[in-house]
Amino acid sequence: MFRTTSIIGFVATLLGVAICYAALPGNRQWRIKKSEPWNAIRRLIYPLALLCFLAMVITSFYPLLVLKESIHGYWLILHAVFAPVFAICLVCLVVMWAGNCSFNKNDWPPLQKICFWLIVILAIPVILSIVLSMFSFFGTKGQEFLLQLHRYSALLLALIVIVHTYLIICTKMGK
Amino acid sequence: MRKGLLYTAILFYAASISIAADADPNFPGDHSDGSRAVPVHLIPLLDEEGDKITPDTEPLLPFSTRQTCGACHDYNKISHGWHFNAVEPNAAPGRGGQPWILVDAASATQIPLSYRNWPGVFRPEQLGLTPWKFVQHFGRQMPGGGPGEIDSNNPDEITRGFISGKLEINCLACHDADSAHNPAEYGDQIIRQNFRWAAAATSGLTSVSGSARNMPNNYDPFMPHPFDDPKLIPPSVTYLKDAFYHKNQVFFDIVRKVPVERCYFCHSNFDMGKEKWTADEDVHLAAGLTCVDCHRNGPEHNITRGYEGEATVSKNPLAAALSCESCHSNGLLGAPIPKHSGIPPTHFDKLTCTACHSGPWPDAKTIRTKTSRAHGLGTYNVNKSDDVLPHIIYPVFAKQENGKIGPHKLIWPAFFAYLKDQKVAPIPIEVVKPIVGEITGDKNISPSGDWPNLTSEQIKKVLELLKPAEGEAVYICGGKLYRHDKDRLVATEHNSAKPYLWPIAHDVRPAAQSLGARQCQDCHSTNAPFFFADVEIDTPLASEKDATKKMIEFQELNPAYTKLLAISFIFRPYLKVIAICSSVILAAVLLLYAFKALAYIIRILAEKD
Repeated sequence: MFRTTSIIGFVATLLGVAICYAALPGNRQWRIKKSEPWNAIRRLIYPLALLCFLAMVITSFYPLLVLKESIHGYWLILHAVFAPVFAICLVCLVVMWAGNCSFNKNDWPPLQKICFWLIVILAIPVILSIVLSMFSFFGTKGQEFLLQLHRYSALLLALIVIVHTYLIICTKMGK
Repeated sequence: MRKGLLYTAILFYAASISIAADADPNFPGDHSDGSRAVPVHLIPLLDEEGDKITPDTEPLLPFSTRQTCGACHDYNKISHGWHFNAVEPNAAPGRGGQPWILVDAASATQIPLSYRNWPGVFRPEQLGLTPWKFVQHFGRQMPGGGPGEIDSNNPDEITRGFISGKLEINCLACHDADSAHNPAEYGDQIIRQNFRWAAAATSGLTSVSGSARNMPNNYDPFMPHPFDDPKLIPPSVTYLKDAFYHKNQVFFDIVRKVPVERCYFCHSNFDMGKEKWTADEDVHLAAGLTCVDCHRNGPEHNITRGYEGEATVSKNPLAAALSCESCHSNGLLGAPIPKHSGIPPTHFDKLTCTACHSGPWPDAKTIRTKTSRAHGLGTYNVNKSDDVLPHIIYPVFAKQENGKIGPHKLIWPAFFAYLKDQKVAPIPIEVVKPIVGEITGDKNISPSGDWPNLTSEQIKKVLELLKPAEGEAVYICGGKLYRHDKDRLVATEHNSAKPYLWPIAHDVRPAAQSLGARQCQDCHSTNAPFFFADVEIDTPLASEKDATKKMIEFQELNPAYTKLLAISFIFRPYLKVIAICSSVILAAVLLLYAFKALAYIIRILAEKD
């Protein structure tokens, strides 16, 4: 069930992004601004977060979608290695970007900002569901629920991050 | 929960109907009228010919269970039950279980045997053991029947069998609740080859003397006569004076619900280095259950063994309903329904229930244990030495046929054999023993019953002396096959040298003493015994005495990964802190901007007003 949902989700999202990219006009050139050293550090966090996100998507969805088995073994260890780095980067990005991502009348439709806030909302169940399962608060049924919650919220988070990244790329390219 | 209980009730009802439907009216004892009271067994005694025994009968013969109990219970049907059907080729072997272990310290032999087709065991006939000989070796803790009732083709055994009689199913071994019942007497009668007298000897009604073993071949037990030699005492039975009631009936304290002590005579464990009184008993017994509350059977005596998946091979309709999981998921008989708080569900796919709940708490090194059937516990003159063979090692957490890891007992086979076409054929002990004795000398035999200290040189010499009639002579011990190659003793791997493991289920520890009840590191630490304990490699070869194997080698897991996973648990507290702090900050930001949004909405609404 989750495997099918994941396949449909990824195919639909990537297809949608590809269609939008091809359909929308733009100069397709990356605009690089001159930046202060502090901005450079700020800018490093985003690629690092993206890298961690990519690693986590691969370590969790590759075994599921390609190997047709749930995450375990070295995949799980890698997943757990990138997870705290991703969490820290995400927190930094949220703290840095939240001010700029508050809604105002001028930028409509605020797709990028909606994605940003959805990421913040979804990151909480993604993180909490797995960390709570590490405590002895929940029995087997609770553990299974937390696992499902982690899977589905992570899938949704992944799809929204893809869209959000695409929108950032579009903004950078002036599309 | 209620649904589960309902299903279980329906299952039990269906099972009881099917059992009742199978009952034969010729055997009223097998057809319950539904009363839960225990029927009083005030019954006449019948000898093996079916003749009634009275105090005046001449000669006085032992009662036959086939005739006495068989008058009301279908003996033939019972003989196909699990405890008696090992010799039947069509009996489903089910999951591998405890083998009989043929031991001979003098010839450095310890080899698992069974009539059941379990992978890793040898058949008794491969060691030259006819059913007659098998019974003499192991009958002490057999419930009778099976090999004890097989007719021999060997003329000598036919003659001796006429004197000894058949080893009938000993119904009293389980069902006699009389406190005077003496199961140790059974073993003594087996040694004396008094098979016909064995069951009667255990009851509190009789006294058996004499020995069929000492009788000459022309002795007729049905027309006994005294011998001039005072050492030659024919087997005979005496019934207690007050054993016979009205109409020469005798009272047997027979119970349907078998007392635990009866099971324990053949199913006890004793861990080396522990005092018996310090060991806790199984949590189910402590809670007031008995063995037969879970290990149940109907009149056909096809008792449930209780392992996961038994229902696929067992004809017992309750096989599926009487596993750990079934009882503890339905709360059967008050079984607590486990919460397994904090245990990721993947554990239930990879581990048996017994992995965490059964056997001793694993230590840095496995221990040795004794079992009733392997060491004759409870019989007369048993060797109480800690070193006595066979050496059973446990707990060994190994992968089972169903892919799950569970606790096992283990023995390392050791025996001389012929190797031909990569197949190993054990050499009977009577062939090997004189040769080994010639090489090692009597002084090498340990009085404790331990291995002799064999050197590579001695093994080489024995292999030289064993005639290569049926292949190349080899010696198997400590997990290796040793061959004599160009004046060297060469060790190689071979399937027949692999240890034999059988799963254990008892004693079950309470939930609070289960693996993982304290913390994940019970198993997931870099030196956790569950994965990294040393498993003793037991061998008579002096140079290999202290060899060990890591537990994980029995689990088909990647040691590097398992170690890495264990190391990751060191960082788990930091991961938890980071994750919780991240969640709190994200939630705080979210809340902050939610309030801001709310303030904005309030302001807009205020402006409109």
